[in-house]
Amino acid sequence: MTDHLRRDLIGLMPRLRRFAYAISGSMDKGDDLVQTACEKALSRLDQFQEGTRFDSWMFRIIQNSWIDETRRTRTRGVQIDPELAALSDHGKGARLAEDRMMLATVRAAMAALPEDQRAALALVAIEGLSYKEAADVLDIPVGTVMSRLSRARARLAELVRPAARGAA
Amino acid sequence: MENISKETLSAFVDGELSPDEMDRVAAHLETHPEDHAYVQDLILSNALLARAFDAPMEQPIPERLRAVASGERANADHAPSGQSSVIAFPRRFARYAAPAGLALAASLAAVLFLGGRDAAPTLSIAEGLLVVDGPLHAALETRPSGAAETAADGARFIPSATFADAAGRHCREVEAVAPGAASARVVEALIACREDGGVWRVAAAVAEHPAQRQGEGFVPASGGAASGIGAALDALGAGMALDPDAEAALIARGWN
Repeated sequence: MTDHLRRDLIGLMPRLRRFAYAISGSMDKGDDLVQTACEKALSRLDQFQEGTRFDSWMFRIIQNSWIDETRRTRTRGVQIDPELAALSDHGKGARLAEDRMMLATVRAAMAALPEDQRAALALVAIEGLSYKEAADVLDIPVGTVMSRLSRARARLAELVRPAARGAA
Repeated sequence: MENISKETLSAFVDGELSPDEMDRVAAHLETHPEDHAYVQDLILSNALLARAFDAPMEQPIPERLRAVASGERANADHAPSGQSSVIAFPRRFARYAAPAGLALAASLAAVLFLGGRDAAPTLSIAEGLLVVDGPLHAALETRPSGAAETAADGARFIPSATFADAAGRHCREVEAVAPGAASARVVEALIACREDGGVWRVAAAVAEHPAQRQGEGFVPASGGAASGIGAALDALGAGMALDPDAEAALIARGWN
């Protein structure tokens, strides 16, 4: 009975890694997070309710693991190595310098957001969850998702606008 | 007219308002350039956000994670399963203009196109759409005319010509073929012109349904005033199509 969930887990892996990257600000930290979350999930598969969204369940475990971790290490927010963020686009086809700079700006802006806003933004804007689904993952009311998103976006747009306009 | 909160504009971008509210906000945007600009900023940041963190979508799954998920010991000496991993696209963004299909819109029409919640199984490429990533971007940016770029779901994008418009921008004509059964195929032809930063803006898009193909050629995609690719080329002041060598050189130089 857990076989299909394991298969689903493999299939979900790229998205889980992306989400963990977005909330932790680093691919390595993100992968550690995904590993921890997978171990947790597999040790309590009986708690997963068939018929509910498996991806949402995993996002929730990842987010909770991240919160645990930041509490433990007392990190406030995410540290992005600015040099790394500026240089690395992980082989993605962002050929132009201004393109890379803009993506680096976005990563830095994301890292500067408060934890709860960052998670909401990652779930909705990157993972494409509905407000209701994001609310379920974060265990908060839909209205709270809406206001967190709006605040996160206002800050992001502020930071991104000069870069976007500058490149145009 | 009344003020519309940033929260509502943000929900508009996500298509999270009721149909009536979506219409109301869309009408409001037509007469409120500042809010319209804000909505465009949100859409731009969304598209950039998706690209900023999409590296894991394109890489193989690290062995340690595959091992954990499949219940093997992390450092067990085990051959990779060889099966490629399925990439689950978020349904709302399952379109073609971006990494997970996220379309970046510039015109109000394109904003409205983004606003819809359900992903139709056809290609919906609206005029004014900014293409920043994804298979369509890859086709525009890297494929010589005649070569297809195939999306994960089987949709194909085939550039057919490259030319300069009256403003000196590089533009390309692309044929888009929807995935799925051959009988239900929708072909869409579009013209996109390259702007700064590697962004392509769709200047015209026309759909061609097989049933309507005889005699008339392309028909407008959405009942608009567009009158086919020929008219769009005229409107752009399109020059002669580049020869394959010149096109290849442009692609090799990254369109500079």
